[in-house]
Amino acid sequence: MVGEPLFILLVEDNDDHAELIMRSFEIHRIANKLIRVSDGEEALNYLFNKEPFTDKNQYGKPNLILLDLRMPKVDGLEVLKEIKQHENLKKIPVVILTSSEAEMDIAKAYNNYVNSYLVKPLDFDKFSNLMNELGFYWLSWNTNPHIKE
Amino acid sequence: MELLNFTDLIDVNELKLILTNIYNLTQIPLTLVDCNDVILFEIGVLQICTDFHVKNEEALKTCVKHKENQKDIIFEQPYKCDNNMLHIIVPIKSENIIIGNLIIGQFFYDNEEIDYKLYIEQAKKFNYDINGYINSLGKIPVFSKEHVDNIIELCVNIINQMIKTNLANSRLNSNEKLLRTLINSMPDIVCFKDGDGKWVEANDFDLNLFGLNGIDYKGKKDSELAKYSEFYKDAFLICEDSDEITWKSKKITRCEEIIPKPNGESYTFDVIKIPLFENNERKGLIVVGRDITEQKKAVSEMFEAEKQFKQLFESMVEGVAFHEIIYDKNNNAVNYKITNVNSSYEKILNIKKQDILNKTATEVYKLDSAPYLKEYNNVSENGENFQFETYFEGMDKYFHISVISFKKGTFVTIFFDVTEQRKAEQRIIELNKSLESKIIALTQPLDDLSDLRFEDIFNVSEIQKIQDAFSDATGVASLITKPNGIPLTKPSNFCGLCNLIRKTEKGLKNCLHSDAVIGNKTEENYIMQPCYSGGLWDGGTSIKVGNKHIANWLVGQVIDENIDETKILNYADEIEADKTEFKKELFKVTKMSKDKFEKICIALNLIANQLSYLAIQNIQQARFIMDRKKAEENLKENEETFRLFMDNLKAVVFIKDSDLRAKFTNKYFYELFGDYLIGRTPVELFPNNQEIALKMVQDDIDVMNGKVKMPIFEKVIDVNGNERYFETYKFRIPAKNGDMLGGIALEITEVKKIEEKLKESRESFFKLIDIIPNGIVIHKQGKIEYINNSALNIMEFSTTDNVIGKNVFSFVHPDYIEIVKKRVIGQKDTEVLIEEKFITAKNNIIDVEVSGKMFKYDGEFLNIVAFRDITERKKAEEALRESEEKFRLLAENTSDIISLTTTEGEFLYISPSVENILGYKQNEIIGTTSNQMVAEEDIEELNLWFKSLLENNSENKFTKFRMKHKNGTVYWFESLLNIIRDEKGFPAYILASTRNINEKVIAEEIIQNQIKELEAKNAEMERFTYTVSHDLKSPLITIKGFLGILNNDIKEQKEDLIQKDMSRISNAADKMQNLLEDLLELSRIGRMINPSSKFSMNDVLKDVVELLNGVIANKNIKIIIQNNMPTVFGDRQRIYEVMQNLIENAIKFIGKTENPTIEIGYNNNKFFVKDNGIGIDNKYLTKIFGLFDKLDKNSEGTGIGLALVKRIIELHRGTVWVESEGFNKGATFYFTLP
Repeated sequence: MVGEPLFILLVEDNDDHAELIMRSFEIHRIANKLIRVSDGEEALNYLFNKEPFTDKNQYGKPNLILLDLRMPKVDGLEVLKEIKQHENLKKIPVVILTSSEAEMDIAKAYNNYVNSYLVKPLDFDKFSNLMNELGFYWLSWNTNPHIKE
Repeated sequence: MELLNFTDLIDVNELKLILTNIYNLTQIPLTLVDCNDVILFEIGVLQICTDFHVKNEEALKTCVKHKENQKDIIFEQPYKCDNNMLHIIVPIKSENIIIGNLIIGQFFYDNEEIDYKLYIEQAKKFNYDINGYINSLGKIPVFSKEHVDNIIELCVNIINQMIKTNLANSRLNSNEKLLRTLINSMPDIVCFKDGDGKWVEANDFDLNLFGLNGIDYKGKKDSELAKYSEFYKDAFLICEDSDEITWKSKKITRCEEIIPKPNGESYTFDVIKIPLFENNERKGLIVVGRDITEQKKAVSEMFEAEKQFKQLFESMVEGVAFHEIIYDKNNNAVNYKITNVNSSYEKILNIKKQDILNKTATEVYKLDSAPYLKEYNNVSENGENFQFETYFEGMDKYFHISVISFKKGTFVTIFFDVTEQRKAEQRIIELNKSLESKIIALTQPLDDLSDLRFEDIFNVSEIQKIQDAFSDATGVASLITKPNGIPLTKPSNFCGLCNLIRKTEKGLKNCLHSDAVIGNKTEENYIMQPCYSGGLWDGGTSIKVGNKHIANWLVGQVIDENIDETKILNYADEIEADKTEFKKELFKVTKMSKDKFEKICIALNLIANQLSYLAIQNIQQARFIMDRKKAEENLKENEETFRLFMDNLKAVVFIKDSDLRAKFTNKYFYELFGDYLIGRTPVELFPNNQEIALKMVQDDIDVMNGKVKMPIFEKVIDVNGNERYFETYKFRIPAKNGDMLGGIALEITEVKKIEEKLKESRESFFKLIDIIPNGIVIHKQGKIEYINNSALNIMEFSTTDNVIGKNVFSFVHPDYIEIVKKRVIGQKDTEVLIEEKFITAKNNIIDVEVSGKMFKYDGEFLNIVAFRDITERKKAEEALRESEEKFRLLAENTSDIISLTTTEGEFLYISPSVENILGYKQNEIIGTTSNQMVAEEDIEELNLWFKSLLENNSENKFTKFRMKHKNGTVYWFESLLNIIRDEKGFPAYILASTRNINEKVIAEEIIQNQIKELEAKNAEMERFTYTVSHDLKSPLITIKGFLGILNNDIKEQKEDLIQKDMSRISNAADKMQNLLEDLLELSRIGRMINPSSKFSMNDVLKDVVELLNGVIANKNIKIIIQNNMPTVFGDRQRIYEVMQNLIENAIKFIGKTENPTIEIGYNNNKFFVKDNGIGIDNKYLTKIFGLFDKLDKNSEGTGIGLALVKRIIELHRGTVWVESEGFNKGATFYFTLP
């Protein structure tokens, strides 16, 4: 496992936001691998290696999941629930990255054992800094658990 | 007394036999005619009658057998009819009324020449064959006057004896009938038992009650009667036990007896038993029982009602007091205190409730110890009711006290004033003795004849007359002896020869021997044999009562026509009698053929049988009238001595001269008055009773002047001072020296005595009536003839003075006059007890229960009315009714439904409000169960609840359930149930008050719906806020983010990226604008601004399809719209939007199908929009209706369309949903619009 590069699974339906996140990482030279899926269903398919992500070598378990809440089909909270109820997946740190500041969303997220809840800032500088610190914190400072394949 | 027919008074068949025999002996023609000219019997009718007189109409008209032809005839005197035939007519009388005639004739007297000339003239006159007529004239028998007189006397005596006996008997029967009518008219038990408990007499009511109709109950004990019926067995045995208690107590006892009915119910009787004792021995028992079943029932129902309404307690006539027992440390009862009393208690005892409540008995009654504490405590301990009577000295009143207990440690006393009753019972005791004689007479068995003597039964001197007449008529000697041969009568016609024989020692021995032998051998029939003495014929027969041989009637001393005289003369030698004298007497002895003597014996036997029959009658009579026997015995003693002086006649005979002084009187007269009175007048005969004497003298004068009708009834005082009654015939005897007066007086004292006895027995009936607790009134066509004590008491009269003779209607309440009139005028017996109202002397209106019976007495119809006062019962019933009325009024004046049901749910009562509330009439509900009204879905739950309520002992409970109106509409109701328990605490009835709470429930529903709606709106509001906070923020983030990126890209002069960034910013701004527009739209449909209208769905679709024509054509989609879809009521604009959104949605997700088709239609009350596009995963069937929810992030639109549809349909109170079989299988959207 040592030496294996850590990688992020980004679950984000909004293409613009996904672009903003990736560009922010780019600006701050965070070069970890990032795989983006565009809704909750796709995220679960990925995590459980369902079509079209059946190849476990190509689609391994991420070291961090950035999860949007409001998405078509299956929304972020449901995805979170699935992950945190799964024996193996529940160890993966999940960070909610959403525009919602609704208390209900925050409460529900923590009730489902989310590891961190972040609200997307309106201001781009702040957005960019948040992405930088987020990446730095989770991918550098934090000691990640071992995830079985 | 009712007029009796000839056949009622005389056994005609018996008389016919006797007359036949008299004819056989005498050859004298006899005809018996009743007072209606009906010939009852004829014997010896002569050719002259049958061949001549009867055949000629004119001659027949004058026949003496017709009453109208007897006008001028002197009875018992020879009379020549118009056909010149000699007759004697003997009237047959019953109490002075001629009921028929015995016609003797035709015959000729031997001392009169037959005037043949006269008869030849007569034959010519009627055109008879003269020779034949004269020839038949020769067949008419010829007798001496003496012979004819003897025959007449014999006949008259026999007939009179028969009449007297039968008359007395028929009167007794009529008295028995009266008694039966009386006791049968009572609706109560009446039963007499003898000292052994054997039934003597019982009325119909009693017999019906015990099913004894047609069973010979007399002489049987209860235990024997119990064998007749398994059903009444116990009742009989209980009766016997309770009789025994009465015997032992030696007092009048009163108890309640319960007698079962075959239908499973039972009667309750208030039974009074009166024991009768004689010399400390049980003599009889009178049982009188009153049916108090109804009364009982009313009272027990009252108890029920009282539980609910507390009415009974106060309305009870009896005093009622509730008590609690006070115990000491050792739990011994030491006192009791009064916890409640009713107003009757206050009234009866004159004590005020507030003065005694919660005080102890010793305080209240001011005594050292609590009265009856032990008894009361027993009742409280055992729960067994206890009753007793007590006398309150201070008040001079008797009280009947019943003690009951509902609960240990408490008891209730119920008492009422029985003073009147006790006083009535005192009267009953006083009257007991007069009743006793009646009971004894009824109870003495007839077969006890051990001490019976001929002289007890017969008036020997009367019999002597018959015997003498018989001897004279037949020519034989005659004598009646005791069974042992000792003479009872004087010999008749005794011949000198026998006297001669009997004077010798040897002869007498043989004679007595003969007499005794005849007596002993005559068992059933007569006997005939030559005597032991001199070859004379002897005969005889016996007279019996039942099996008891009481006398022999001997005849004889007749010599056979063919006797060897020398043989008899030798007998004179044998017995050492004077031969010359013997020969002289032998010549005088009656000679006749053996045949004729036998005929005489047959006649004798018949007469003796008749006497035996009469003897039985006499005994029955004698048994009934006990003290008559004693009187007779006295009389008979006199008569014994009397007889010694009498020669033959037993009638008083007298002849008075023209000065009406006695010229001749017979020995009987002397015997009667102790004086022959020759030369004097009756005035001297009755020095102390001139009234009698003066009447006699006046009668004498009237007779001489031809004024008086015969016979005259006379009461005289005989020499012994006894009153005696005579039927006297007086007649004028023409004489040269002034006409004289002759007279014969026949004694009728015995008949008079019977009459008096009858009067006495009648009085004793009335005494009996007087002690009966029922009111008895006897009236004739409304006029009151008799009223008993009970009736007086009930009617509040103190004496009979203002009642007797009054019209019954004056005591009947006006409302009931018609009913009573019908009964009286219709002369019908009442078959059931009728409730009527009477008005008492004190103008009180009382309720009575009446039964009426008709009976015939003295030839007239009388009404016997038995009644009893049921005012108290009526009051109790009225109180019950009132209490029910109160309940009813309450129930019927409330808007709730009040119902009374059994524990099984059957309605006993329901208030009329049920009609308004549920549409059912009262009578449609009563008798049914609640299930028909309760909504099906609630029945089971309601029953379960009902059951648990009954089991859990809780008294009050509410429940909520639905019921159906008769028209099918279902409403909500709320019931308050009250369990009414019986005396034992078991649930008996359910009293329910049910209220319609439909509006309340509907209001609650509306509130619930409104709450739900508010909650939904709230949720939507939150969702909206959420949307604003997320979805609106999202493009802002994009815009601001890319503005930052743009800034970087411009600095770094990345030309290619600048353009992209700017377009992203622009797109995000557009998206934001769309969102804002949709939000605006959404907020708009929150309010239905357009008024509702009716419109065609087809029209709407036409517009929608027109609008979307471009897109449809572009995607080459086929649209199928069903024709004639229903018209809809609603907001047309919104429904248009629904259809637009659904069709747009279908077009949007039609995918890449080969033949894209959208079908719109209506089926099963729902509209549908069906496509064959990409379909929807079942997971997302509800999610798609969410606001801004999209399944495909790349699809067009903001995700508001279906949310809008849902919103509009729900605002129209409809529902919308989607069905899909999966990916690429198309989807169908359904919605309903009510």
